[in-house]
Amino acid sequence: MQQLIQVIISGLLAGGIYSLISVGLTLTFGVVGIVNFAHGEFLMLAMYFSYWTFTLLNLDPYQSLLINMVLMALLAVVVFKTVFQRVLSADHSIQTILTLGLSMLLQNFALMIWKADYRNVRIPINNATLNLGGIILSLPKVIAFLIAIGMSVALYIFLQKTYTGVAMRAISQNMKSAQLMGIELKKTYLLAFVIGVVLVGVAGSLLIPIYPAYPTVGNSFCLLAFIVVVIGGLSSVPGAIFGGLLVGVVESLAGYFIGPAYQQAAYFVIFMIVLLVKPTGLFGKSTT
Amino acid sequence: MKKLASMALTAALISSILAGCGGTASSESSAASAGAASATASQASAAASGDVIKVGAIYPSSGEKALLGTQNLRGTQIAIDLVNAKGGINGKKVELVTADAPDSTTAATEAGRLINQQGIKILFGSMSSGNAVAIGSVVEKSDALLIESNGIADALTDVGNKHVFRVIDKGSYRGALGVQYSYDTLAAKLGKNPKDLKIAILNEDSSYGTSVADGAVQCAKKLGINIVYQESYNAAKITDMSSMAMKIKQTAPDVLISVSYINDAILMMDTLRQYQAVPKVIMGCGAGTTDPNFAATVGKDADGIFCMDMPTNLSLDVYKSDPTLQAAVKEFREKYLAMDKSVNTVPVGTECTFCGAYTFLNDVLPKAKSLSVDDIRTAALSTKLSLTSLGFGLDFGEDGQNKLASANIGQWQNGKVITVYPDKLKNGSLIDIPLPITSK
Repeated sequence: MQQLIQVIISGLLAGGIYSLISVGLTLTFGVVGIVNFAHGEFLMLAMYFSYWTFTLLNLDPYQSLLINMVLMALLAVVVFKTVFQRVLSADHSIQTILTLGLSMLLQNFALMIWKADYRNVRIPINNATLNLGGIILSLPKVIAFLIAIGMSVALYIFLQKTYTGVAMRAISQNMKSAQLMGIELKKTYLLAFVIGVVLVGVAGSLLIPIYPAYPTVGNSFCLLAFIVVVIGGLSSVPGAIFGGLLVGVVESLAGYFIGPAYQQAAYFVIFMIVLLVKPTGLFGKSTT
Repeated sequence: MKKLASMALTAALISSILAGCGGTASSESSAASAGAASATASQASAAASGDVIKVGAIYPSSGEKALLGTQNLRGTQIAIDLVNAKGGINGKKVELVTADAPDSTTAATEAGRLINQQGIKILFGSMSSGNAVAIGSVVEKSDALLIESNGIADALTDVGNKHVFRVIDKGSYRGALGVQYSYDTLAAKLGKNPKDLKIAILNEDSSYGTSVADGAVQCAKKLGINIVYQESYNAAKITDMSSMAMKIKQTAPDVLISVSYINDAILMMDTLRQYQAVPKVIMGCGAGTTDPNFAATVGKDADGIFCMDMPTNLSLDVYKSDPTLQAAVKEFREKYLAMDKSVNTVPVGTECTFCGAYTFLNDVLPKAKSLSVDDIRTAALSTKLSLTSLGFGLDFGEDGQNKLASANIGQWQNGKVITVYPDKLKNGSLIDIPLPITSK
């Protein structure tokens, strides 16, 4: 029984980070309407930013969280204005290929300037654990989980209670009607994209004490994020939170009881079931 | 203005496409796989002239294996530099053409390109067994040879290949060595009857990992040792090893045999430490646990971890019977450490690629009557050396496997890998058994 609880809790902790990575993606997808295949690369860049602030300024990733958020926001503005803004009204296939190209560009850019070496941030809490009645919790993962869920919930409240947040939800429901209501599309798109990238930036800061940074680190997390977003429902923040936690737990249970080789297969099975039973996602609403 | 800008961009796009088609090839990789596609094949000079022997080197320089691949390539480069400095091969200089192979599909494509478009007959590779097997199947159907220095998958030489020569050992030998050493030496150090040893095996799931794991399993069965847990995983995709750490904690093996690349080796160590599941002995294998970056990242806790691998950091005394070789090894190490400031010992993969390239270019090729594949093969099969830079001799069997290749067991001690087996290459004694960080 204890083992089962340990497995589930480990899964939840991993799932918290998956949620945070996915929440950014769901916002970009839902509001801006672009399938951002470069999402994993923003995570990779955030991890590198954290690494370099640690190496050059001696600030651990938690101390440099705000700096990282600012850097990611600036990056998001630059990328949006130079790349995404030009294809907002283009065909989806063009947008997709563009983001794929951006993904390759960023990966190779990182490879070129930082080489392929794995960059680890080693801080005292790297291997620190909490022991709650025999259940072992990795401290960096607990911190990551709490901040991740906290930020995701904060985003949810922002989307529900503030004018800008409601505007974003309006756009994701019906872009034309939102415009008729006087919502400024371009500014809102930019803000949604920036928030999405900043959140994935936070995820990067939280991940670097757990996982090394290297140019292709974004690949596996990006794939996971897409699965979570589809399971949870496009443009649904609660969906992304729930989906992330679900994927984390399924991955952990499958890994322990069946085998690590089946971890991915397990959450792909859930993914396919959701697509068959409720294609809009568990929390998704159909949009016009 | 807009029109001018689009014309300029179109012109730039067309010229880059033309440049791309012109002679430098790009390696393709699908977005779903390794993800990073880069054009890294270096420009070869126009046609192969009579004064130059062109050889190819195919290693990953992008993707998650890029670190190890780049290290490996340097070994080949330095070997060629040393051979050229001594006048080349029968007066002809060796020219290196490199290709990037982040995954095995690209490795096969690049091998085909180097052979067919550049007319190259000798390929050095491959960093990973996956790439090695892929290149092996291409050379077998072509007029070329593969000199393999890193891939240990049994499959490379077990399928009747005539165009593949492997300088280093086979995966299954390595796995068996780890188990045998645990039985012969480590059991006593742990105060256990060898037959009561509990072994767990955690391996990455490509031909490299499975070869070693299979060898370990066979040897364990032969010796009557209990394998309490065995698991394989995909090294490129794994992001969380909690379930494996929990299983290891539950099954409590005495010895964990870990066959990994570097990223998963680090992840495994971190996860084992977090779950307080570190077994008494960790017997790592190649690529991951032997790389200097492993120890640099894991820190002091790396001390005491074993690695089954090719020799590294051997004392120069090992080569005293062959002063020319001794000087070459010394120069190679100095050159490498000048190129790579991030490490203080030469990575083992680089030692292997240097050995493969240097032995072939210095000892085998000069004896070949011509540069035809048949003549080179004859020269290779007839070359018998009692010592190479890896500390063992050279004697290729008909299957291309070097029968004299044997892995060492090394142990991390104060940031360096100290050879503890075999006795003739030993340069230190055992420490830290069980590991200081073993969970009680």
